[in-house]
Amino acid sequence: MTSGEAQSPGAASPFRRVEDAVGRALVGALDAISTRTFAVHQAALLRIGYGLVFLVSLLREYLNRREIWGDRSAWSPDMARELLNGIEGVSLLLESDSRWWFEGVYLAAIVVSALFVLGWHTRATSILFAVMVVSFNSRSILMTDGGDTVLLLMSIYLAFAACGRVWSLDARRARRTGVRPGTGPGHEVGVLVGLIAMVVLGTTCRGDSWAVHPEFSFAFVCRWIWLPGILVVFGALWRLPREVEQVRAGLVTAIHNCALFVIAAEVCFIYGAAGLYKVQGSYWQDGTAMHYVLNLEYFAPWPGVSHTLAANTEMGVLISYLTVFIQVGFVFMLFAKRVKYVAIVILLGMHFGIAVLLGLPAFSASMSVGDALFLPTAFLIWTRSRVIGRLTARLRRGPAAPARAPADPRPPAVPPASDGPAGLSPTASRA
Amino acid sequence: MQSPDDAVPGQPVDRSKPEVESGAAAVGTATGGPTTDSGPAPGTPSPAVRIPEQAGERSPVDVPTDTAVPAEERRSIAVRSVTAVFAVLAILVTLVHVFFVFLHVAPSNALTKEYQKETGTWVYPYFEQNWALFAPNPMSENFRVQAQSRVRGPDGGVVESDWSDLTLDDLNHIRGNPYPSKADQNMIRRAWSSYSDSHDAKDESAIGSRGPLTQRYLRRIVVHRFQDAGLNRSLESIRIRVATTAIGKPDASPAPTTSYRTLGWWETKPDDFR
Repeated sequence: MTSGEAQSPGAASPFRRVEDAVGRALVGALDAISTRTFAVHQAALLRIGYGLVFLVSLLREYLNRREIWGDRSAWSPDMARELLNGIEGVSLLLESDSRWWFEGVYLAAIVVSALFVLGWHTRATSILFAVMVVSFNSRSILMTDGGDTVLLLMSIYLAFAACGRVWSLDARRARRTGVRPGTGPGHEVGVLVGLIAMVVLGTTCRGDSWAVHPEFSFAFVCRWIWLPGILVVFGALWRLPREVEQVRAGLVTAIHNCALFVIAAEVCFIYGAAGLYKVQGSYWQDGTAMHYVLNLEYFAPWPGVSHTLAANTEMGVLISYLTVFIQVGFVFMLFAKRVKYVAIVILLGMHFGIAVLLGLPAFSASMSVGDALFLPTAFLIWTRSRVIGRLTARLRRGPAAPARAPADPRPPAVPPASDGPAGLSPTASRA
Repeated sequence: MQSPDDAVPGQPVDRSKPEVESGAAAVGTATGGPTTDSGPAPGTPSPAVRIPEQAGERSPVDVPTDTAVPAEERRSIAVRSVTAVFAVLAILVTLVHVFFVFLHVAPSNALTKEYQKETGTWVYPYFEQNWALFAPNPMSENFRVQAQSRVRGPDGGVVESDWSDLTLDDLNHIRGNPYPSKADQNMIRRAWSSYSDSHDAKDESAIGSRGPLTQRYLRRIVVHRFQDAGLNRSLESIRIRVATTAIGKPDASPAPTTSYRTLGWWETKPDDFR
């Protein structure tokens, strides 16, 4: 039975078959990485989330802006330069010491983060956003806390991700005009914004005044990236040959997927490291950590509540242990679907507690947005439709009641609904 | 749990969506239920009916815009090879980055020591991070930065002020504030911790290269606070002391003791004032 036909290929075939299978899997994986844009909705949510965190913090600190980053800061520009010299840091805010430069950059940062939230020419805006976040961080490093670090890392990573493919002005424009991300006519505004982004990036990273490390470093890359960047941005004005366009799209997709992997890894690192450091601490082991944390004056906006909670030792032990378990186990829980969601819900609850009790809403928001990366797409879509649906319903009910009469021209606004099915097949009909 | 399980087989041919996603939807809504508790009681029966159609049926807003080249378009072998090379490059950079960030975040060990220089080059300045949040142990004491001023009076005599508690000013701003400012929460806190990290607690001599910088920062903060309190350039010198009070164990209740670390008088420089 296992005669000639089985034997002659049998000698070589198990290996060849494995070889073929491995080869096919490899090719398939590389194809998938460069053609499938994974987690588009999660990336968009991260864009909106981190954009809002930065925007709100800029608005919140508006009255203190000069003390924190500006001309009235105890951390003078010269001191900032001295510190950044050693670590090759850069900041757009240090280009000039004039007050009006500072005010201008502050205003620009507000506008940029608002546009980033809205997803307006997202790629260019995301680069500007990262430049702004880096600039404000580097200007006053001693003003930052963990939340600022998360925001800094994520803003850089998001510049590599295609985070404007959905829930953005870009997506809306693509639906309406048929001009999709890529190159060719219709991208003139995008090219202009991209050029501005490159000029700002180049200005920020000029760094002629501070030391240049001879060896390779990110600072070195950052210093020169705008040069090829300008060429790439200009190139987008012309429609590329089909093959080049395909390669370009593949590269963009691959980088997006890699960036999202890095973001996921980063979230795991944060929880893993935070958990493993805590395991080493005696207070976390004997469960008194909560007692100490809740008694720290700088993290007690509501001292009465904090002291009451700190006095409850049993609950303190429970929360201390739960914190360590979830943080250490987060990476592993991600691999079990149902457990993962339990972990995320607990973490969100923890972050809510940190936001309110420790007075760290920006930090908590940054961490929560990172967690959202692990939520399923369908849940995000369902939540969005519910939230937006309710919001628009309320808005329509609210102002429409007094403005019923002028709402007559509203019917033209309704057709977008009939516009919907056409939008499902991405706009090809109108393109 | 139960309702989404019913819902999935309930509308099996409804959508051509991959199973993974509808499965994820089911689980997601199962956990999503508790989070979006805002939904009133009638929300409980409805998910079984509503979720599959809402989650499965994407409104046009939820459909991602593709690139100019549709992903499913045929690609020649050459295009696929070139793209694959780029993809491999991107993956390599990603792995290197994740590797170095891991080494940077991990506690000191044989591997981190071996790659210390490379890690530093890769990570600084943009990817520096430290996640020892309230760890290994949270601080077991509270500190108050207090300051004293020497002002030259119009008659040429020097007037020495009482200690004023700068941290208390911060705390007064923080208390009752749901979103405290960085200026209150981080400025003195981090200025003091960076000063004490770079100075010897016994003789206040600088350790490392950042000593002078952190001292100057602390001095300028205090000068600015005195300026806010109404002093002008007649402020000649300032002195800082830090009062540290132990939090104490939860059960034991000996009266918390306060210890003081008093720094020397620091003369103000003209450019300290704003």
